[in-house]
Amino acid sequence: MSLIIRCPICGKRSAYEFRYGGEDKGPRPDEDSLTPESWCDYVHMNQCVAGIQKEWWCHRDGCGLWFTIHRDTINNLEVQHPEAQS
Amino acid sequence: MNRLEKLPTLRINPAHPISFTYKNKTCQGVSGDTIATALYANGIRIFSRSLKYHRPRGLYSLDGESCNTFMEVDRIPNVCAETTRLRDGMTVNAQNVKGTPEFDLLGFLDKLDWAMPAGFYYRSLHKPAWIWPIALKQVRKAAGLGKIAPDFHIPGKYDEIYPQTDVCVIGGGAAGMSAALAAARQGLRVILLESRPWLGGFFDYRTVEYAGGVPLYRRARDLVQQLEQTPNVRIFTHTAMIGAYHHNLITAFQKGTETDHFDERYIEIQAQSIIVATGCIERPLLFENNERPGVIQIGCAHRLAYSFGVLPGKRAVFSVGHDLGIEAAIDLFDLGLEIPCLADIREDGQDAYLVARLAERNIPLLRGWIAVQAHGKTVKKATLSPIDGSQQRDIECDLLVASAGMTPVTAPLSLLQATLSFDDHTGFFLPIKLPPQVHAAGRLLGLTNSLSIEASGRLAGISAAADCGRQDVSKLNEAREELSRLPGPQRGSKLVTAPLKGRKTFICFDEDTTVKNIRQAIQMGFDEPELVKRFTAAGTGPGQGGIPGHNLPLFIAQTNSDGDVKTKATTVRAPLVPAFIATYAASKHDMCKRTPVHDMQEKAGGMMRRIGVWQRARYFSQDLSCREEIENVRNNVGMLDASTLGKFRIWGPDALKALQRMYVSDISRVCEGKIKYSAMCNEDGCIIDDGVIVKRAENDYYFTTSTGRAGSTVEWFRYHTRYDGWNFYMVNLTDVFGVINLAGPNALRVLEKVADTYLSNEALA
Ligand SMILES: [Zn+2]
Repeated sequence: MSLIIRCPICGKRSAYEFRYGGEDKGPRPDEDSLTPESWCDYVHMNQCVAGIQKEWWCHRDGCGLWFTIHRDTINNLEVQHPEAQS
Repeated sequence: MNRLEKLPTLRINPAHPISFTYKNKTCQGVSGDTIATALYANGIRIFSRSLKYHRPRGLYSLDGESCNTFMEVDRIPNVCAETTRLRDGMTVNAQNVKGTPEFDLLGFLDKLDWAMPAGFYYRSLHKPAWIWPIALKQVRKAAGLGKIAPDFHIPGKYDEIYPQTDVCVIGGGAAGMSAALAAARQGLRVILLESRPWLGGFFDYRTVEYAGGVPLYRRARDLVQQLEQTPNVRIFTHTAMIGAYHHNLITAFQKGTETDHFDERYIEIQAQSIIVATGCIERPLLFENNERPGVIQIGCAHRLAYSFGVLPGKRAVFSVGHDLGIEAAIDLFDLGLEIPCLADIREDGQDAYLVARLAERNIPLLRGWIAVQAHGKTVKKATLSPIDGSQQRDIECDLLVASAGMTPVTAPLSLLQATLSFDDHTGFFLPIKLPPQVHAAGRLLGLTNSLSIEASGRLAGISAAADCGRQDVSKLNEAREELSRLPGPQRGSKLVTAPLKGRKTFICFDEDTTVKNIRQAIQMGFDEPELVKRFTAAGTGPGQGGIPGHNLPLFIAQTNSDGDVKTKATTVRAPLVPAFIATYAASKHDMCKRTPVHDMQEKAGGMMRRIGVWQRARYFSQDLSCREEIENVRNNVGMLDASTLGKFRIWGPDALKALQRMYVSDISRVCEGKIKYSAMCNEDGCIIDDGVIVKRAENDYYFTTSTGRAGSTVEWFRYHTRYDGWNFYMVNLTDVFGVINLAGPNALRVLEKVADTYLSNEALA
C-alpha cells in the first residue's frame, strides 16, 4: 500500500502502521432524543466522497493516538490544508 | 577448466571451484558463475526443450529474457539458470524433456507445426465438445515448463523489508550510478537497484576507451567505488524491480548471497522521486532457426568471455545491427575466436574507428548483409544474404552471434504510467510524457555515447533532488547544457526479419510463436499488437516479453501495409520478472507470547496450542477424549491457565463514564472491592467481548477482556470516546499478571492453602 500518513506525534509514517477509523461524522448524537433510526443513520450512513475526506486514523503500531487527516480519495494522497484551499 | 583467467573484467574467481550435479554427473563451475555460465563452460549447449514443438533451446541471453535456460534446480522447477548464482552442491536437471535435452522423444512435434497454426488450441480442440477434456490432458502432458509435486515445500529462507527513501534509482549502469551520485551529493537518501549481481551495466565488461585512456570497465569500477564511499546511498544488487504502484511505491526482489540471512527478499520502497535507468537489452534478429543452440546475442557472447571467462565458441559468424556487435567481434577475436565474417544490417553509419580495427584483423565486413538461416541441431553452418535476398552464402561455424538492434527496457516506465511513443530516429519506444517525480536517463533514451549516458544520469539525479526540495537551479542548468553539448540519440535499425521466409522463424521463444503465426493472426483480422499477442500468446511467457516485446509491434506495423497502423507497444504488468510466491509470502515469523506457567505446563505434558498471540496448554492427556481430565475437574479440582486474557486498569476523573459507554451493564452499581461480569457491544448492538470489572476505588477500575481482543481494547476505548475529551488513563496489564482459573468441588480448599486463610462462599459474596 502506498499511503503515507502524518501522525501529529510521530510524523510521516507508512500506512501499514495505522488503523483506519472511518470518515469523520462529528460527535455521537445526543442520547436523550435518540431514536433507532437516527442512531442507525449515524452509524451506517457514510458520505463516501470522491474527493477530499476528513477521516480518523489510529497510530496503532506507534503512539496509539486517534487523529484526523484529510485525504483525497481519488488519488489516495493526504492533503495538508484543505480548509485553507476552500 | 577452460577459463580465460587473465582478463581484468572478470566477475568470476577461477581459483574457487564449485561442484554441482547435472544429469547425475558432477560438474565444476567457479565462484561467480551463474548456473547457465557454468553449464556452458562444461560444454552444455542444449539447456531445455521448447513449450510446443520440443525444439532444442540453449543459452541466448544472460538476463532471463526467455525461458530457454529454465531448469529444475534442487527440485524447484522453472529456475532461471542464467540469473541464478551457482552454489556448491546444486542439483540441476533439464525440464520439459522426455529423455535427454539432446535426444528428446517428443522432438518429432517440431515436424507437426502445420497442425498447430496460430490459436489452434482455442479453435480446433472444442468440436465436438467431449474432445476438450481428453485433448487438454494430452496437451498438458507434452507442453509446458517444469513439473512440481503437489506436496513439494520450497526450501530456503525468505525475508521482507520496507525502506523509505528520497530517491530510488532503478538500474545500476553508468547512468543509474551517475544519477545516484548526483542526487546523493545534494544530501538526499538514495536507493540504487541493480538486477545483476554487480553494478556497471554496459560499462562493466567492455575494454574500449571511456576517456583519457581509461577503459569503460575501469570507469564503472570508479563509479562503484565513489558510490560505496557515499554513506547516504544504499545499494541493492541482484535485485530486480518487479512492480510500481501509486505514489512511487517500488517493489523488488533481491537474491541473497552466501553471507546473507535470506535466499530471496521482497523489498517495498517508498520513494519521493524515481529515476529509471534500466538501459537496453538486445532486439533479436529473426531468421530461420533463429533460436537454435549456438545462436546467441552479442552481449551474451561478449559477457561470457569478459565477465565469465568462457570463450563462447571456436568459429563465429556475426550478424549485427549496431556498433556494440562490431566491438564484441573485435574483443572476441583478440581472445582467439575465429571470425570468418561480420554481417551488418546497416549499409553505412558504422563507427569508423571500429571498422578500421575490424580491417586490421582481416575480418570481412559485409554491409547490408544479414543471417537468413542457421543449420544443425546446434549451429553447424549459417546462411548469409544481402537484405534484398539477391544471393546467399553458406559459412561453417559453431556460433552465430546475432542481434537486430537494441530494445530499451521501458517496462518500469510503463508501470509508472509514463506515456511512450514510437520514435522513428532511434526505432525505440521513448517516454514523451513522464509523470511527476519520475525521470528517465541513459541508454534507454537512445543515447549510446558514454559521456552522454553519464550526463543524462547526472541531470536526472539533480532533477530528482529538486523533487525532494533540494532545488539547485544553477546545477540543473549546468547539467542540461552539458548534455546538450554531447552526442544525442543514435539512429537505430528497425529491421526485424531476414528476407528468407521459412516456417521456423521464432518471434517468441517462450510460447513457440513463429513469424508465420503472426501472419496467420493478421490475416484473420487481428491487427492490434495487443490482440495478436493474446491470440498467438507471443510475449505471454515467463520472459515477460523480453524477446518479442519490441519486435512484435515493429513487425505488425511493417506487415500491415495500410500505413495508418501506428507502432504500438503492448502493455506490461507486474511482476516484471518471474518470482517465487514464497518470496511474496516471506518467512513465517512464528512469534508468540508465553504465559508465566508455560514451562510448568510443558513439563506436565501439556499439549501447547496457538491461541491468538499466545501459546497455551490445550490438554494434558494422551487420550484425546480427555475423559480423565474432565472427570477430575467434575469430581475433584482442575486448574486452567487463563493468563492470556486481556487485563487492564482504567482510572482518572472520567474512567466510570468511559466504562459506562463501553459495557452493556450499569457499572456505577459495582461497589468498591466488588466484581461484576458484563459484555461489550459494537455500534450495531452485537456482542464483541466479555469480561469482569473490579472497582478498586472511586474512578479506578480493573477489568478483563477476551484473549483475542486484548490488543485492541485501549484503541477501542479511545475510539469511542474520541469526540468527548474525557480525562482517563489506561494501562494494558495483560503481560504483567498471570491468571489461574480453579474449578471443581475442591477448588475452594486448594485456594485456601494458597491464600493462607479461611475462605467460604459467604465470605466472598
Ligand atoms: Zn504516532
